[in-house]
Amino acid sequence: MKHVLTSGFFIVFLSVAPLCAAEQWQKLSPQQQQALAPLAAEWNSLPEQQQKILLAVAKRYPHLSPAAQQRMQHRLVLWSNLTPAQRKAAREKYRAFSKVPEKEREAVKQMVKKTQAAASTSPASGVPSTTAASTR
Amino acid sequence: MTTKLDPKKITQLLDQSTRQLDGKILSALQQSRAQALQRQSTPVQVLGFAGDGWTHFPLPRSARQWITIGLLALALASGANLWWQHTRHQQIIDTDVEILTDELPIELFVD
Repeated sequence: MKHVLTSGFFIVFLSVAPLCAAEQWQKLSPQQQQALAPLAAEWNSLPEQQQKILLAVAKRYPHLSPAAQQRMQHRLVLWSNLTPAQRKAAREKYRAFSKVPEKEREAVKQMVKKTQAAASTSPASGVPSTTAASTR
Repeated sequence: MTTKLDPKKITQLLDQSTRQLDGKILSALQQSRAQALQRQSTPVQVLGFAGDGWTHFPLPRSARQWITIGLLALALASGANLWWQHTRHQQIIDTDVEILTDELPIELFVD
């Protein structure tokens, strides 16, 4: 009986524990700070949930290609400044786009590249105009 | 062989044959019967059927069993919730990494 009670409380604790994990910028590891460098100024004011997701994203940073690392750093600030609803909508759009057949996706990519090349100003998202190697 | 025996007749026959048994055998039989009855009356600490003839669900019999079942249900629900949260979290991270590193500009997906 004692064991059942103990394991019951342990399980409840485990399900609640991940919710409490805010981290200060100074306490991040050098690797995390490097990956999330563009967010240094605003990190401490970011909501816990967003910090958690960004820390998980930062974990994958070392495994990305240099071009993807550059793209990620350029986009981090813009991404963090979006509202949770905007991010949610963007994720849904991206997932929907991922389901589009490869040919059509490639056509969209080519079209975007042409538009970017034609534009005289540099893009706000910081997307490098070079054909960078895919990260996946 | 076709003679029909009613239960009373059977009982009478059994009693009669029992009286003819040896004293030792009789006492051994009585002892076995007593032991069997004792085993039958020993309370069993496991979940069992309520056994009212019409009930077919195994129902807990004591508060302790109810608590155990409640805790197991709680553990199961917490585990499922944890797993769901983890899966959802992983999906969000996967998508975020893809959006942040894709060749397509982020503005394409942001309203």
